[in-house]
Amino acid sequence: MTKAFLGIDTGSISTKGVLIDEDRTIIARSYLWTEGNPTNAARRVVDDLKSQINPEDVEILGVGTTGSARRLVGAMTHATVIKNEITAHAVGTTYLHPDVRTILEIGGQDSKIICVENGVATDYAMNTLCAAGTGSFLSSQAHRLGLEVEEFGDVALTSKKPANIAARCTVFAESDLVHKIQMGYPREDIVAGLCKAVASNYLNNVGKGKKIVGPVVFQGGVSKNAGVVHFFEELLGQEVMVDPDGHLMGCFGAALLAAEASHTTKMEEPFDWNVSKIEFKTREVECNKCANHCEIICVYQEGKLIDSWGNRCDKGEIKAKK
Amino acid sequence: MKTIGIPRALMFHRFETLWSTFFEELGCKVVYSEETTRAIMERGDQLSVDECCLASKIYLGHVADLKEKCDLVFVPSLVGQKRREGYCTKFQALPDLVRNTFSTSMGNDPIPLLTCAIGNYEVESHEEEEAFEDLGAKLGASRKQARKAYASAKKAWNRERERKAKRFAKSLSSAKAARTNELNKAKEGNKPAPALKPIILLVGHPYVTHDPYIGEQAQQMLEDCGAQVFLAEDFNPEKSLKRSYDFSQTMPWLINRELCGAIAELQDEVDGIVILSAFPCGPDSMTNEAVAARITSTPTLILTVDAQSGTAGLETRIESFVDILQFQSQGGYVHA
Repeated sequence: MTKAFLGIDTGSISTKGVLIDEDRTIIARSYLWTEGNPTNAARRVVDDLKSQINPEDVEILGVGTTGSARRLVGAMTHATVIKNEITAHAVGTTYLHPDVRTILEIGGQDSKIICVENGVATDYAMNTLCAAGTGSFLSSQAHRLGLEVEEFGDVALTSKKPANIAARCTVFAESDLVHKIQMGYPREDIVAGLCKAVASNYLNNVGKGKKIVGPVVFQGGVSKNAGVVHFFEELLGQEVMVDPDGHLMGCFGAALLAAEASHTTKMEEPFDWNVSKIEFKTREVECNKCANHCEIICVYQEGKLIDSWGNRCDKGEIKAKK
Repeated sequence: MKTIGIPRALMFHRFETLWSTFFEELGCKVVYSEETTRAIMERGDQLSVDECCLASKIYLGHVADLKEKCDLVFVPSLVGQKRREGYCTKFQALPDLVRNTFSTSMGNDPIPLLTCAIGNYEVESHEEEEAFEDLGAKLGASRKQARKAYASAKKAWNRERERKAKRFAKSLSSAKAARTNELNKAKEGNKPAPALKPIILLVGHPYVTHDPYIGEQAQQMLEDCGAQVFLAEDFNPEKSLKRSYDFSQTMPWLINRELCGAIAELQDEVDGIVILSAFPCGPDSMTNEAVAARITSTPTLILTVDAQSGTAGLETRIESFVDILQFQSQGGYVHA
């Protein structure tokens, strides 16, 4: 019987999952689109992981969840650890790269930078609200140029003279891009210009005021774009590492934390591999007990309330019946 | 006997005792608007122009809440006592802002106001005492009566500030003593150090940190993560004001001076600093980054709250910040 830990990272665009064994080695990995339905995405991730192992031979001793839907997916999977994505990424990355000093991350809708000293995060920054320069911006621009976002990076690398694109704001970038296309700039120069703009925009905003010390690790979906990697290296004047499992660092970190916590926090009930067969429903309730009108989210498993959140005070507390 | 309504917003959170004591000494009845709720914030948001900061939007919601609950709503214009120790322009313009918002031309019913200009370093005759004398006169009190009411109000306010500063110093030192004690005990028993309950200095304008809808929520989140929170505004104000001149000779705002000075005085005493601003705050946009750049040894987090964003982003940021402090004290993430 293999003892294992499950980590799930449910982001706005993609959902990632890993299984690690007791030696912290990844034994199964999954990466798929959230498609606006985090509960369903988490179920599909569990199914995908299950298909890579023999579930009868694997015992799950802990579950960690992270990402923006960590709480919801945590309730579904009876997680033993629910952790914010900054900590989860730092934990995962420092485990694989103990000497890392700077973690750059660009995801589908947000980006962050984490500064590390002696294997522990010391500082971080996240982009503020605006999604300019993130994965969803790149894919919409790729679409406009008639390219798949996956080919974007390689096309960028063929350019000898990247066009100047203002990527500070998605709206400006788009009009600048259209203008340059109409002016007759070669496509690869525009693509390279966009990749360069993403890198410089990131360094000027998210990385503002942060000292970027090597070794630098770049992760998140956009790290798969060789063009952006190239321009990061050019702008920083140093090597930027991209791990093939880079997109899994959040869920890997969550699994590591679950393993760490397993000495003290045990699973309340054995992990149910059939989570995809169980019905989960969420319902929003407006609390009318005061003028705040909190929107409380209730999660039901097979019609039974298992968790709720969103209330600002105890008046709005809705407790699961044990 | 008149009933005076005081909006529970902006400088109420600094001057509550001064104002209420003054009016009560003159025989008035004082009522306050309700504590900030989402309904009050939304009402204020509707009444305001977009450019106003969240805190002043909330203020208008509180003024609206006092309608028909009092004879007069007290809306002072606060200027400041000294050239480099003034208030944000917004506080100076408040009576005009309120009067013009609650006017028929804006489609709102007018609200009877009681106003005065407190402190004006450009006109020497406008000392605080004189402003309160004028205020008393508007309520039908004699100069002598008003002066007496002001004197006891000021005394009560000063006493309260001293008490707060003393309490701050005492609880900070006892939190630190308890920490040392715990660590020593663990060492003696050869046990691993207990999880750090970080001592956090929460820095923000009193109307942000004390507002139940915005600041108190951030404080609650910090405490839920196991932090011990101390408010910079409760620190000895004379000390912090004096210290602020080391930081900047020219900074024009009193409250920002006190906050920056408190950071300078306390940065080595605490485990982390959280700066909380209401978007878009003019003074904070100038000082936050400048202050953060000067804090070298203590981890610092800058948080901004506005009317649109939910609390999800705030929670993630606060949680990760406390994680950083806790895991650093443990020396790593994974012990296996």
